[in-house]
Amino acid sequence: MATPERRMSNEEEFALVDLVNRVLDKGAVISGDVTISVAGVDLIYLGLNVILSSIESMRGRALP
Amino acid sequence: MLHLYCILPAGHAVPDGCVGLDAQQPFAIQAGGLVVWATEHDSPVAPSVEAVRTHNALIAAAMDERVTPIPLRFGQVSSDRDAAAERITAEAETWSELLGRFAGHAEYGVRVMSDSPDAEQDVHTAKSESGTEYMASLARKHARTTGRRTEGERIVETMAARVGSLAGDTRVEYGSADGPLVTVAHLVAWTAADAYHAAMREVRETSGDARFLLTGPWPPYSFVT
Repeated sequence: MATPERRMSNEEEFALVDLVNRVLDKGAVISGDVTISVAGVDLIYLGLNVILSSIESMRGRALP
Repeated sequence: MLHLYCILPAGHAVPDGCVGLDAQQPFAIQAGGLVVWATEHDSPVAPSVEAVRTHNALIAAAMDERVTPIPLRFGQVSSDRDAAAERITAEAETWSELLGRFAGHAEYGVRVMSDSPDAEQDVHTAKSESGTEYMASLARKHARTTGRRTEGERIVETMAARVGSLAGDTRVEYGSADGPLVTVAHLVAWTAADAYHAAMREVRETSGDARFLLTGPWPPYSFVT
């Protein structure tokens, strides 16, 4: 567990979420398939017609 | 296997000193009057915070005041150079049009959050034990979502009035019962960046208790989805 001094501020965390959302959930898609592991939880195989869930929405569905 | 990063006009080689995922050396593949930047790997690169940062950093290195790359989503792979060139060439006209529209522009992101104290409460009451309490919590959550949407729309209207003329394009995503009220992406000319920041400060000052997080400049991820 991170010490308080090393924990990210809310703004830093939101900025990181912003980056991750952009890079994993947006951007151009060219034809083909992609194998990707999201948030280090599952290795999932997705057709490119399926939009990846954002880390933020995954957090919302995560068990406590 | 190639990991692909971004598409650029022909002639845009990878600058010296740039590093790709797994510390691989990036290179440019010519394709239909365009280039795509790539690195070679034995297997697909697993996403991680560090990998996401590296992917974005390489694309950002391709940006300058005249050229804005088309960023590819993380995880775009191709078996080899010929296959990558074939894919880019197949849609070369579309990519060229986008490059023309993006030239001289960058994306800015605005995440608007509410400090409303009942945000957490709604999440926890949804775990109530009785059916009645559960239904009541759902009703509260619905009312909260509706209220947040209204607040988000009001802020978006304010933004459009003050920033609209500075943004070449805009994308808006409203939040649900928790998370940000609204997330907005603006495509802004480099030459208008200072005016854009000033206008966003005005929006922030007239939006009550809502908290704003402004990020950028980004490659235009939100405008190619």
